[in-house]
Amino acid sequence: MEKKKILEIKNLHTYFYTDDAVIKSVDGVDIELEEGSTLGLVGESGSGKSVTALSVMSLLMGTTGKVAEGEILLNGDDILNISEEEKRALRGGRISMIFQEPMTSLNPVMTIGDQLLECIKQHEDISKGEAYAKAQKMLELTGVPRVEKMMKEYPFQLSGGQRQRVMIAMALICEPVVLIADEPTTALDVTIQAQILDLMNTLKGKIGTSILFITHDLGVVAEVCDYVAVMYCGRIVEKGDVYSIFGNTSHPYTKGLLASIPKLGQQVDRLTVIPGNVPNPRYMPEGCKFAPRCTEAFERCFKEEPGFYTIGEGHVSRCWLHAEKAGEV
Amino acid sequence: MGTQENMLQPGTPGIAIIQEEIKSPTKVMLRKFLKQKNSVIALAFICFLVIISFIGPAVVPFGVNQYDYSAILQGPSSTHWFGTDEFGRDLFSRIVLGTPISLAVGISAVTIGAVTGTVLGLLSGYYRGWLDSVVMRICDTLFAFPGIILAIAIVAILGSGLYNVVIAVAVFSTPTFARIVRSRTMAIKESVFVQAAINLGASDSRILFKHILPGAIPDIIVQYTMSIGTSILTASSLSFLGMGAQPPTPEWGLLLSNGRQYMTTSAIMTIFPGLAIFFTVLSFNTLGDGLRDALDPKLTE
Amino acid sequence: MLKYAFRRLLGMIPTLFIVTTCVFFFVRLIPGDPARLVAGEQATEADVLAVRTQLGLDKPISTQYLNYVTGVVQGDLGKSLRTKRPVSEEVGYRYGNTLKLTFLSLAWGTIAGVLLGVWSGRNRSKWQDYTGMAVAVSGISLPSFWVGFLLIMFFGVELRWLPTTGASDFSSYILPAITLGTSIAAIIARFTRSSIVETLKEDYIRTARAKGLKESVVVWKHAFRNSLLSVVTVVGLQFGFLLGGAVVVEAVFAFPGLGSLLIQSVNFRDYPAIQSLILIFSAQFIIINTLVDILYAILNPEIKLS
Repeated sequence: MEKKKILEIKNLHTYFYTDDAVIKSVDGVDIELEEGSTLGLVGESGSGKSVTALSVMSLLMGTTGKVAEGEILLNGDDILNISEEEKRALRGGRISMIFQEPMTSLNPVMTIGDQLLECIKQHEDISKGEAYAKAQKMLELTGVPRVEKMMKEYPFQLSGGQRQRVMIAMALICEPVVLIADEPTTALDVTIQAQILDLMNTLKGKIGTSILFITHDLGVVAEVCDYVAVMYCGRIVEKGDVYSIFGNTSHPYTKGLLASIPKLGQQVDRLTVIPGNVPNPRYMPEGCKFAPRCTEAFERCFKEEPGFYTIGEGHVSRCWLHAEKAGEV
Repeated sequence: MGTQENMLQPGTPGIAIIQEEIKSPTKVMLRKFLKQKNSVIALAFICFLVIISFIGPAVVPFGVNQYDYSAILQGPSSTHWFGTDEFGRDLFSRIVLGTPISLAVGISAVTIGAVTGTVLGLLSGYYRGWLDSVVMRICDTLFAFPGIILAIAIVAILGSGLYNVVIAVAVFSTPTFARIVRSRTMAIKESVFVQAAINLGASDSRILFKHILPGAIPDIIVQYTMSIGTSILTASSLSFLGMGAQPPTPEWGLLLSNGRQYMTTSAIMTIFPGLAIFFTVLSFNTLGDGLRDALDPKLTE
Repeated sequence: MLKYAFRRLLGMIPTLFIVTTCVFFFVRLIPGDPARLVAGEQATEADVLAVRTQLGLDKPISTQYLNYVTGVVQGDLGKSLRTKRPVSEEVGYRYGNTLKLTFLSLAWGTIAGVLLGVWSGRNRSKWQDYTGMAVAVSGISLPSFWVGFLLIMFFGVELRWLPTTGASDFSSYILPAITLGTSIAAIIARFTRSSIVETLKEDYIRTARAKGLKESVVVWKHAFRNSLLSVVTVVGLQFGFLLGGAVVVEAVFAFPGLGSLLIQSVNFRDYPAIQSLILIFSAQFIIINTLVDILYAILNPEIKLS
């Protein structure tokens, strides 16, 4: 029973062209987002997850980044090889995005109401009065108190959690089919975090949006995601549904990530860490990019980059260890 | 990639050490500066002007005050590249010989202002207290006047002439430097490593000269270059108003005011001195922009 | 908000007072004896003494100072040694001209500067940026008197379209305003450009683009609106400079304004006129800076509402 793929990213390569080098931030990424689900895109800083999101949204202007290769399909339609105008029409309308820093993501000299209105008017042809009412309704849905007052307030008068709710309202107000959330709770207190995650889930159901949830926090992934894709050095290293990923963790990197989370009640002398550092994007190793830090690496790992090997239903891992199991040599 | 292969054995998790060239800040700055072709050209032009200042007298075809009544108010010709003035003096020679004057006035005035301002800024920013209040009050008062008004006022007291122009421009440049150095001093003083030095018992002068002053140097250099442009403009404005250089000094502003009477007949006399001022000031400003971009740590591409 | 404004306005007074005092003593340093100048070359010592008494220059400095200050507070700027008439009369006549010229120059300079600055800033590191900034850096490198001359020669003499002296009617303001406006435009352009470049890096710009807004809306309604605060400050500063610093341009165009009055007064050692003029220039500057501060507070919601 195959559910529809609302967003498909195929073989995406996004490179940054600087004076002395080409930095391959995203180097061959394939992601499928099933309609109505939440996919968690997990990785450390520098893994390329944010750049993937920006590529989908075509928000790379102002940087030296460009999509060098690949396909991005929204509900089957190509959204990469279209005009700038068409891309702009999609942003905020059919796909929207919320960001990590609620404190600085709102225009400090415009009222909340005006910023919401702006979004509506850009995508819908309704009167100002109707738009205002719609904005207010959306804000109410996000659970902020005293909505009428807040519409007239400025961002500096709101707390971090409130600002993030406003961002969510702004992103969902035009009922997009896909919402990309780039670490939306990382900058917030843990208690607020829970509320925001809860809110996103509720609204997702109400509006029927599918969510691409970017995070480095596996705890959050376990809570809200249906599917998981793990990224390292601009590539996906493991993909699958959330139960398989946590229950049958296969790739050494994913295993390392899980192992480094301290567990309540457990007493250890030292915390488990993944040895070494993320490689400098200018000096990428040959072969498997994780090999230099992998406790289970062997000779082949340093020479050739592995492909994807199936672990289970919809669960793949990019590791030579699993090639044998999958029947390959 | 040779180093990597040697260091990594299969199965050993390790850190891939990549030798990255640690570039010294001066080299980085130089590289950034040289990339800006405009600024490099500007610097070359300034060097050219400096050379001209020295070899000018030996090189020009005519003397600075060489009257020739048979050739007055002529347009450009093969003998007189820029034409002649009302006394038959060769304009080209006069403009070339005016170069050292503008450069000397500009550079000396700003140097005095920069040194004075830096000292004041360092002291008031570091010691604060009553010294700071007094210095800042004086600066505020000086800032209350538009630059040229202040210069006119000073020249009015001291009398006209280029030396007094230098003093006037030095006076009105000083508060700018004082303010810049003061805020930089205060910022650096609060930094962790200076606080550490103080706690370790380093003397004030050591901290000032070894830690704070070097940190302020980039700002000072940029301001210095930009101020030279302003000071050349002010000096020539004062000469134009009759308060600066006196005839027959071939100062460019003075040459322009001379040419005013003959605007209808011999427009050349106003065009070339103006071009001289324009290109000189433009070079200093462009150089200053280039230096500022090169010294700015935030600008990478 | 009103409290803030009131406090700032009150804070001007001590500064104004210090400036008045400085100006008074400063002017006395100018060499040359005004009594002698007024009395004329043929005057005898007795004549000069009589003139000195008549002008009140024989009284002790402290008395002169007190008289001056009380006079200023009442609006009396002294009597010009040169014209023998109240300084305020001469100033009054010229002030209007200078004010009009200032507004005109500022208007043209600000509009041109902002447009050029935003155009350059939004196209950072592309040809528009390089061209725009090349124009701007040239603008600040041009001697104003030279620009004035070129305009006179071209529009006044060659084409005979515009008058080149005086302040008779509107057309005689045009060339001086263009001259003055040019250097202002250049300064504002450079400043606006760097402000826009900085603002465009902010997170809320990314949000604005993520909403699907047109780039021009992002640049003007979001970026520029946030840069407005700093641009206003720069424009305000230029206003202050213009009100007195237009000395050179007034000389070039024989424009009857405050600047040319200052030059005449300095040449004549006309103490009362000089001291009052310098006082006016700096008072204007201080008042304008204070008003700009207040305007800044109005435009910045954070200060307005606290």
